[in-house]
Amino acid sequence: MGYEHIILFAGPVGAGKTTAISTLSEIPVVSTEAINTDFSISNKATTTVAMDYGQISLEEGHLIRLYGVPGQERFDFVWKLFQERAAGLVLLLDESAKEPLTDLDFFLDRFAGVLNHGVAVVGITRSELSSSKSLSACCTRLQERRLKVPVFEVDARDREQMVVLLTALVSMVQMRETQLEAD
Amino acid sequence: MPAKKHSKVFQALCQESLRQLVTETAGVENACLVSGDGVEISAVLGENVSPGRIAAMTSSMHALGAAITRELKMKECRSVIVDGDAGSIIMVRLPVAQPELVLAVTCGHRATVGGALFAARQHARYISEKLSETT
Repeated sequence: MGYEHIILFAGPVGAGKTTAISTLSEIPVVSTEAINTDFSISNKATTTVAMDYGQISLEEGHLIRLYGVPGQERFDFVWKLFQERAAGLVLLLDESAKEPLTDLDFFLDRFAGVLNHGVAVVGITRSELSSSKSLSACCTRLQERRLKVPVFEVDARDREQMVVLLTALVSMVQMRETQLEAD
Repeated sequence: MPAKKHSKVFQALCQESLRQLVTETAGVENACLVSGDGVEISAVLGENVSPGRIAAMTSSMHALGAAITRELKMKECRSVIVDGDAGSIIMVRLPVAQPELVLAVTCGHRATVGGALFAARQHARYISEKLSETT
C-alpha cells in the first residue's frame, strides 16, 4: 500500500520555496501570491502570503504533498499551522543573502516543531550568485546543534536536483517511521 | 513596518472611513485596511487586537479565498467571511486597487453579517475611489 507524507518548504523570502514546489509538482500548483509592497524585506515582485501547494509521486502509489509557507515572520501563524502535520521539512536558504547562517538558526528555532517529530534537510540556493561557501558552515552549525540534517546545494529550478533532495528527505521520513514502529 | 507608502491625505481619509464604519455600523467592532501582502495601512481596533497579526491573517485568508475561487472558475474573490461562535470576520477586496488592498471588519452578536458586509463593501468602494483620485 502506498504511503502519503506532508513535506513543508520553509525559509526566508526569496530562497526559492515557490519555485521549488513548482519545479517538483505534478499538478498545477495552488499558489497565494500577492504583489510585494514590503521592500524592507525583499525587492521581489510578488510574495506568498498563505501557502503553495503541490503534489508529486516519487514511487508508484506513494504520494508526497508539498506545502510552502511564507518567509516573512508576520506569517508565523501559518508556520505553526503546518508544522503539526508535516513529517519532513525542507529548509531553503539563499546563499546570496546577508547572513545565511543567521537565517539557518532562526528557521531551525521556529520550525523546531517539525524537528521534534520529523526530519529535515537544508537546501542552499543561489550559490552561483555568491562567493561565500555556506555549505560547510551550515554543516558545522548543524553539528554544533547536534542535528542530523543533510545539506544540499540546489538550484530550485532544476527538477533533477530537487527530486534528489526530496527523495533523501522522504527516505529519512520512512526510516524514522520504521524505527518508531520497531520501538 | 517600512513598506510602500501611501500619501498622508489617503491615510487620513482611510482612518476616517474606518472610524465611521466602526462607529456607525451596528455591531462592528474592528476595521483594518491591509495590503495584499499583509501590511497594515490603516486600522481602528480594540485594545487587545494586534494590527500586524490581523493584517497578515487577513491577507492569508483572502489569498486562500482567491485560490479556491480561481480553482472553481468563479473569477475574482470579492470577499471572505469567517463565521465564529462569538462573531464574524468579513474581508472585502477593494474593487480597483493595485497593488491589492483588503478591508477586514469584525463584528459581534449585535451585527447582522449581511448588514456588516454591505457597510464594508460601501466603505471599500469609497476608499477605492479616493485612492484613484489621490494617486
